[in-house]
Amino acid sequence: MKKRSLFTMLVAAALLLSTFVPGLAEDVIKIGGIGVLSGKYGMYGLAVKEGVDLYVKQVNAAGGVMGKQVEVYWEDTQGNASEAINAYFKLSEQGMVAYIGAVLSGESKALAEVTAEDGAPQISPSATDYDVTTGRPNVFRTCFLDPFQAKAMADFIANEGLKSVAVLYDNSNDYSLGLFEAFKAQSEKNGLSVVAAESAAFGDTDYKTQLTTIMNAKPEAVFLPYYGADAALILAQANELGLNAKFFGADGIADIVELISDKNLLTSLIYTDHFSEGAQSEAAQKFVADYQAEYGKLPSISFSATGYDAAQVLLNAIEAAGSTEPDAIVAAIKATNSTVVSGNITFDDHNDPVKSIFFQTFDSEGNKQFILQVDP
Amino acid sequence: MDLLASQLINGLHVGSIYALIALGYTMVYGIIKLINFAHGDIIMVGAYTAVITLVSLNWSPVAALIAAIVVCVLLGLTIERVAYKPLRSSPRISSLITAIGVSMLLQNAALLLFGAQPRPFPIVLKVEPLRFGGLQISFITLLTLGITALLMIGLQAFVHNSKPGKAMRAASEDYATAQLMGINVNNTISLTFAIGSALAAIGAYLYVMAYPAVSPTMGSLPGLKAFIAAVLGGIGIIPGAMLGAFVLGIAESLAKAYISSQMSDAVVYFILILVLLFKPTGLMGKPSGEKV
Amino acid sequence: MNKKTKSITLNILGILVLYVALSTLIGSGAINNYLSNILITICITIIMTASLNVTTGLLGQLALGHAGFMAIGAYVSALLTKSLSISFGLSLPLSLMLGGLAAAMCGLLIGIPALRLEGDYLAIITLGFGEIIRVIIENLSITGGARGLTRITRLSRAFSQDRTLSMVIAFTLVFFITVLIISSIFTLGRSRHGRAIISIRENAIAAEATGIPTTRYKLLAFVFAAFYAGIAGGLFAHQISIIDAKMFGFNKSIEYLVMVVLGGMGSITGSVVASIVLVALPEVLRGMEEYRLLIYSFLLILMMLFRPSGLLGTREFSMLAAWEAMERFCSKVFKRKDTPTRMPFQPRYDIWEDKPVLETRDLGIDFGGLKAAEDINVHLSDNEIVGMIGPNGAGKTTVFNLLTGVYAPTRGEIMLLGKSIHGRAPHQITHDGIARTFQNIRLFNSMSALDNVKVAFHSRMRYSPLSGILRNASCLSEERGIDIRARELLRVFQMESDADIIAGSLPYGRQRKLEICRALASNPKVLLLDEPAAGMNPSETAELMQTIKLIRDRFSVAILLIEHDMKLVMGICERIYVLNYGRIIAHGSPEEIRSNPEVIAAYLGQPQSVQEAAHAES
Repeated sequence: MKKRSLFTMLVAAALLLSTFVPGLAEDVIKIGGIGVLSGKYGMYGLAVKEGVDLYVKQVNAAGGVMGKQVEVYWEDTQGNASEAINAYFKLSEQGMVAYIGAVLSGESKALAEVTAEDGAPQISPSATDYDVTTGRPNVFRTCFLDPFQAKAMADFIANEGLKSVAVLYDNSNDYSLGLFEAFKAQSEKNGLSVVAAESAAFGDTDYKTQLTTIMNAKPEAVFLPYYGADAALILAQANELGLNAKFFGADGIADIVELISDKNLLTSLIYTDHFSEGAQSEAAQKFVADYQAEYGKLPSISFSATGYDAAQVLLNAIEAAGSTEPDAIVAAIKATNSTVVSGNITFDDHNDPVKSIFFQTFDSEGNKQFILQVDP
Repeated sequence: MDLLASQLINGLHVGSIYALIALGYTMVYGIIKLINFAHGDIIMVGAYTAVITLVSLNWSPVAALIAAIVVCVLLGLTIERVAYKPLRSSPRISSLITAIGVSMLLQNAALLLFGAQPRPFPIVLKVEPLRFGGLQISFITLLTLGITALLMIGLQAFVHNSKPGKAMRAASEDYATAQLMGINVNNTISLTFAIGSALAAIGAYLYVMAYPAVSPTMGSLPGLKAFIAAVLGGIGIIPGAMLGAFVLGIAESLAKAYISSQMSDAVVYFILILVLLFKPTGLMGKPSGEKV
Repeated sequence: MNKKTKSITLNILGILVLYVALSTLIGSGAINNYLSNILITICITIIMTASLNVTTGLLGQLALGHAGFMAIGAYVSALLTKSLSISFGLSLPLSLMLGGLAAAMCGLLIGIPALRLEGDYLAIITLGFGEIIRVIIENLSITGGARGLTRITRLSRAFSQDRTLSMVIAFTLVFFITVLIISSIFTLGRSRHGRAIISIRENAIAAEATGIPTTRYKLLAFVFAAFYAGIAGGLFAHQISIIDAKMFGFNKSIEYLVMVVLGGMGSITGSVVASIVLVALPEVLRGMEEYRLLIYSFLLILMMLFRPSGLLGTREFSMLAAWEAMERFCSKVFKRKDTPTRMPFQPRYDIWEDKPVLETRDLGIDFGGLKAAEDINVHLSDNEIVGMIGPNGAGKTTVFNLLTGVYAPTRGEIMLLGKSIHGRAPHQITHDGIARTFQNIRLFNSMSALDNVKVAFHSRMRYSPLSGILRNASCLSEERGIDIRARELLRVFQMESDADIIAGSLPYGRQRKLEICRALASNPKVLLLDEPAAGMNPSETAELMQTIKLIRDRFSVAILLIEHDMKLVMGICERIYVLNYGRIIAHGSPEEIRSNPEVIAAYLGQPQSVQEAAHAES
C-alpha cells in the first residue's frame, strides 16, 4: 500500500523528467507545427508539412532568418481538439517562437484559444472556418475562407448561365455546413433557385436516397461540399441513378482523383482550390518544380502550397520585425503585402488573406485541368 | 410514388447486404451466445483481400472473390480458436470485452498496414440498370437480392437437413447435452464460424461492388446494423435475420429520405431499443426462461 | 498504533503529501503548464474510469455508452457557465453539480428500460443510447450543433490574473473533487448498498431471494455512475474550453473500458492506477501514437485471456481501511463516546396457535398448455418441519418458486401469516418472512462468508445510500449491529472461523450451511430448503439433520424441505407431502407415507427402500 503512493509519485517524477528535453542551442529559431498528421485526414496535414518543410529548407540553405537556422517541431493531433491544446502546451515549454497550424478547422479553433491567451503568432494554412480568427489578433491564415469560396462558386455557377441548383451536404460537419449556408445565401442573391437541399453524413456510403430526391427536383447544378472520399461515392451513385447535372465542389474535394474508380466521371466536376499546378505565375511554377524535385511528385493537395506560403509569410515577418517577440511578429505579419505561390497576399481586418481563388476540373484520365483564376 | 418505390428498392438493397452479414451474427450467437463484435471487421478484411488481389495481383474477379472467402474463413477460425474458445466458461462480460478487443485489433492493424485513405474498388461488372416504368434498378441490386435469397434458402436447408447442420441446432439448444450426445461441439462451433465468415466475405464483395470504397473502418457500422437486424428478427433464428435485415434496411432508407441522414442512424438505434424492450426475442423469436 | 494502522495511516498522509508536493511544484513553475494539464486530465480520467467501474465492475454489467453521460455533463455545465453572469468561482461548482444531475437524470431515463436486459443486450442498448445522445447533441442548435461550443471558460486561467496561482487553484479544485468522488465510491461499495450491488453481480436470482430489490439497485448503480461521469464531463469541458459531440463517441467509451479492464473490474484502486498509466504513457511515448490503439486492443484481449482480474487483481479498499483507521484514531484521541450499536430490525410476527403460518389454497400454475402444478393445498404451522418429496419433474421446485414469488400463480392463493402474498416481488416476500435455499447452491461467490450473511440483513436495515457514503452515525451503528448478528449466526453453525473466507472457496458442505445461514439472517418465519442434502455423504447428511433440528428449535421458524434422501426426510419431517405430475398425491406422517401404495408405486419403489427408510427412524 505504501507502494501505491510511491508509484504515483514515481510516475509524476517520470513525467517531469521527460519534458526536460535537452535544451538546444539558442541560435536556432524554433517554429511549432501542429496538425493532423495521421488517420483519416492525415494526408492534408502531411501536405502542409511538406510545403512548410520545403520552404524552411530553402530558407536555411540561403542563410536562415536573422542569420539563424530555422527548425520546425511537428506534433500530430490526430484531428483531436484536445490533442492540439496539449501539443501547444508541450511545445510552448520548449521555446517556440511561432506556430503553423492547425490543419482542420476544429483543431485550429482549439489551438487558437490557447495561442490567443499568450499572444503567440499562429498561421493556419488550411483552416477555412470563419470563427478561427474572430477576436484573435494573433491568428492568421493563408487560405481563403469557406464563406468566400462558397460565394465565389455561386457566382461562377451564375456566370455559367445555370439556373437551378441543388445541394447535398453534411449538416453535422461544420466545414460542410458552413459552405452550404454561405452558398445558399449567395445563390439566392444571384437569382439561382435552390431546388433541393439534402443532408448525408460524412462517411456514409449510401447516398442514393438523397440523390433520388435531388434528381426529382431536376437541378442543372449540384453543389457537393464534401471531401474526396465521399464525393467519389456520390458521383458514382449519381451516375448510376442517371442524375445528369454539373457537379461543383470546394477545396476539400480535390483528392477525389485518387479515390474514384471511374475517372470519366470527374469531367463533370468543377471545384475551387487554393492553388493550381496549372497556375501561370512565376512563383507558382517555381514552387511546382521545386516540389517535384524534392518529393518526386506533384503538389496535388493544394495545402502544400498554402503551407509553403504560411512558412514564407511567417519567416518573412520575423525577418522584417527583426525580433522574435510575439507582438513584433504579429504586427509584421499583419503588415504583409507580398507575392506568394498562391497569389498576392494581404490581410484584412479579420486577419483573413485577400487572395485569389482557382477553379479546376479534371480530364477523363484524372489529370487536373486549370480553368480560371479569380483575383480579388 | 415513384420516389417512394425507389427508396424502398434502396432499402431492400441495403437490407440484403445487412442480411448476409446478419446471418453470420445470428448463427454464432445461436450456439455460443456471443456477440462477435469482430464480425463487421471480417467484412473489411474480405474487402481488402478482394481489392488487393484484383488491383495489385491482377487476379480475375472470381478468383478475388474466392480469395476473400478463403481469407475470411481462416481469419474467423483463428479468432474463434485463439480468442473465444478459452473463454467459453468465463463470465459473459469477458467474452464481450474480448470481442471488442478483436474488433479494435483488426481495425487498427488495417489502419497501420493500409493507411486511412479509402481505396477505390475497381468496376467488375458493367451492366445497364433495368428500367420498370419510371423506376431504375441497378443490376448489382438484383444480383445482391438474388444471391442473398439463394444463400438463405441454402443455409436453412443445410441447417435443417444435414448432419452437421443438425449438430449446430442441437448445440444451440443445449450445449452440454449435445456434447453428451456425442456431438463434437468444438468442430460444430468452428463450422459455424467458418460458414458465418464465408457469408461475410460474400457480403463484403457485394458491398464493395455497390459502394466501391475500401477503408479500415468500413465494417463497423454495417456490422453493428446487421447485428441490430439480427436482434430485430430474433437472434439465433436464420429466417429472422433476413426479415430483420430487410425491415431495418427499409426503415433506414425511409428515415434518410423523409427525416434526415443523421437521424436515420438514431432511428435504427431507436428501433433496436424498442425491440429489446418490448419483444427481446425479436419478431420471430420464442421466449425462453432461466431455470431457478 | 499497531503495524496495520500505521501503514494505513501513512496512506492518508500519502494523499495529503502528494497534494502538497504537486501544488507546490505547480506553484513554483517546476511543473509547467503542459504537465499541470496532464495532471488535471489524469484526475478527470480517474473519475470517469472509477464511475464506469461502478457499473461494469461492481454491478457487473457492461455499459458501452458511458461517454454519452460525460457529454451531457460537459454541455450542461458549459452552457451554464457561459450564460450565468456570476463569478466563476460560484458558477463552476454549481454548473458541475447541475451537469452531474442532468447526466444522472438521463441515466435514470435510460436505465429504467435498459436495465431490464442483461449482458450482451444491455451492452448494445447502452451503445445505442450513447449514439442517440451524440446525434441529438449534434442536431440541436443550443449545443452549437456540429460546430460545438467554444470559448468555454478555461479552468486554469479563470481564477486569477496570475497564471500560476490560477493553475494551482484549478488543480486543487480538481484534485479534491477527484479524491471526494473516489472515497465516496469506496465507502458506498463497503456499505449495505454496495453489498447489495455486488450481490446482484454475483448471483442476481439469489440476491432477489435474499431480499435485495434488484431492479432498484441496478438503477442506483447506473445513475450513480452517470452522475459522476457528468461531473467529469463538466470538468473536461472547462479544461479544454471547446467541445463538440464527436469527442464523446463510442471510441471514448471504449478507452475508459480499457482502463477499467486493465485496472481490474471491481477494483477502484486499479482504476486509479490504470488511469494514471494510460494517460501518462501516451504522453511520454508521443512518437508511438499510431500504435496506441493497436496496443490497447492487444491489452484488452490479453487481459481477458490471462488476467481477467486486472493488473492489480482484487487488491482493494486500503483507502477505506484508511478511513476506518482514521475514525478509530479520532475516537481514541477525542475520547468520543462509543458509537451506539443498532441491531437489525427484527420483524414481529403475529402467530396464532391454531392458524397455519403458511397456507396455499388450490395453488396452480400453467406454462402454456402444461399444468406444472395444480390444486396445491399445503399448510405449515409454526415450528414444524415438513417434507415435500416426489420424482424429478413432479413440480416440487415449481411450488417453491410459486411460494417465493419467482413465478406468478395462474390459480389459487398463498397466505403468509393470514395475508395473501399474491403479486409480491421475491424480495418483498423475503421481507415478509419467507426465505429459501436453492437446489444448485447460489452463494455470492467472491464475497466472504460474513458478507454473504450480511447481505441478507439488507431488508432489515434502514440507513440511506447517502449515510453509507458519509459513514455517519446511523450507518456505523447499524453496520456494527449486523456485524455482531452475522457473526452470531455463523457461530450457531460453527462457521465463525470461516467468516472472512471467500465463499466460493469453501468446501461443499460448508457452502450449503452458509446458504442456510444466510437464509436465516433475514429473520424469516418460513424457511424453504431445496434439496439441502444434495451431494452429501451419509455423515454430512446426519450432521445436516442435526442442523435443521437445531434451526427449528433455536429460531422459531417453520421449515418446508424438498429432498430425495429418504433417510433425512423420514428422519426429521413431522409431515410429508408427496407430489407427482404437479399434484399432491399423498399427505401424512412418515409412517403413513411409507406404507401408502400410490406413493410406493410412483416414487418410493419396492419394499427394499421402504425398509431402509424404516431403519432410518430407529
